[in-house]
Amino acid sequence: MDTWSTAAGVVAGAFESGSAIGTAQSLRSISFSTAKTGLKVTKGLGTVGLVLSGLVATHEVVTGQDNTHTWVDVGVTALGIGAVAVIGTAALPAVAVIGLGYGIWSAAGGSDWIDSNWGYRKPK
Amino acid sequence: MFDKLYYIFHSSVKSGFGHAERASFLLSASVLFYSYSLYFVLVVLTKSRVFNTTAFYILFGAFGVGIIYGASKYFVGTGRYRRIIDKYESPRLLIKGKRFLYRFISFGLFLGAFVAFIASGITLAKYLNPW
Repeated sequence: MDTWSTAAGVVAGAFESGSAIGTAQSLRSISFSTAKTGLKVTKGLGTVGLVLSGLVATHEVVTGQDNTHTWVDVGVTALGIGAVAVIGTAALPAVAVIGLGYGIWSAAGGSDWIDSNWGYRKPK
Repeated sequence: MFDKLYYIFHSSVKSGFGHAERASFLLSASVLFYSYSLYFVLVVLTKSRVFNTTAFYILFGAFGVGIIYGASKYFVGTGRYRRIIDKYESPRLLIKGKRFLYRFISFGLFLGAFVAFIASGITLAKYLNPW
């Protein structure tokens, strides 16, 4: 289940950033149908990303692997998705860059750093 | 009640491409995370066990996807959002004070959903695996 959880987290992050970049690119073109497809893709991938984010957090809670990084991840997802939903396509490039950057930093040890400094459980 | 809630979210979201879709997404995401929070709180209050099985996670995820797609189909797919706007008034005609109030309510509800999820999640974590 640990592998499952990590894979789901990576997929969620990739979905969010990938869909944001894809839609931003498609919306720059003049074609309305391309933009419409981009919106559909973003909606689909955004939904999967949001639900996966909740699922990963729940899985970590159930298995006792939760720590401060779990809730920071949920917060970052909420802010990213909220910004895109409220501001619209103008926010997509910024959200994509910040989301991707956070995802890479998190996978490269950022989560452990958060837990070791502000964690409520001792990191395993 | 959901019509009025949708109208509040619709008035708060910046107009532009996919306006109705974005408002529906914001509303359904809030409802989804309040539902997850309620589930966490109920588990703690009733001292139930949480199933760590693949079937549980599939159900959990399907519920989330279902709520978001259901809301989109209900408000946007059926064109209901147009009737809601006709029923109240065009968001463009809203006075500044009312628009600010609607933004305050919708952003508060959206952020509140995630705060509730985090708070109930930490409560559940403490109940399942105390530290």
